[in-house]
Amino acid sequence: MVQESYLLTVDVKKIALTQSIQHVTSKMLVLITNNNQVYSIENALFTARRQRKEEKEAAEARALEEATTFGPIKEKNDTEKLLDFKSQLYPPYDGVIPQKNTRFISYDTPLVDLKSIYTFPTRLESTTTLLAIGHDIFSARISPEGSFDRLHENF
Amino acid sequence: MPTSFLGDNIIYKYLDSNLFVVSTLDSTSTTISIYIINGVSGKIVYKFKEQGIAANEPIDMFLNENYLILAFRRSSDAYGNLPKQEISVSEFFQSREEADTMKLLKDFYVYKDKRLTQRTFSSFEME
Repeated sequence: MVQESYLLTVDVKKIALTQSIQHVTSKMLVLITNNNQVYSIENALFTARRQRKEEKEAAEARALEEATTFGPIKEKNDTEKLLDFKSQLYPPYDGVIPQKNTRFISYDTPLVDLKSIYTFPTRLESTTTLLAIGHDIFSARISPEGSFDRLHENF
Repeated sequence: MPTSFLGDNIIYKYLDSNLFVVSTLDSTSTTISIYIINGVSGKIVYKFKEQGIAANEPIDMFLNENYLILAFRRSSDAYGNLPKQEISVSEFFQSREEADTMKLLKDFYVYKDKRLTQRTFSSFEME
């Protein structure tokens, strides 16, 4: 169990996670903001597994100890093993998730009174369909990790 | 994907399709309690509280795979903190015997362990 909190720069009305057909693509958080825009946050930024500074130092100290030990490394049994939930694959922890204006899926479209947001997997693993419903209906195709299973148009 | 790993550090996601999440607001409307409950056994898997929230603002939760995401607005308090939008992200993992890959392979191929070969599952056995 890992838990972290983040501050957002946008006010949230409704949240959802993207889905893909084989569940390989990482999930992106999509949300409706208070002024009826659709915003997205990539998985690496909102995951609870971002390392805090002291956790990073502790992990580095352990790695250094292992690297500088002569002879065979003592075999550890399961109870002694440390499970590292925090991963250095993600950016180090920062309390605020920075706002990227390119992440507004609805661009500058003036939408009115969106109430709920849904996501659906598509036939392509990389792509998710998003549907926001309210007074207006807004739908978009998004690729959380880039369109890795589609050929570029000028191929 | 049921696992997540980095090098030899394999961790297992806590996956249970019977989980659901309930939130309650207290009478002073500033504290919400979140309960993650196993719908079959009725046990509370995990619970936590968030204090000082602005109850008239929208609150939303999303439980998916091993993620629980809670979006809420914290109101300004006596310490001079301004109101702010927060998300609280929880990820559930479990430790299992399967942390040892060699043992896992042996259990499957040599000992034909029941926990690896059975095809029917009960939600009660997960705890």
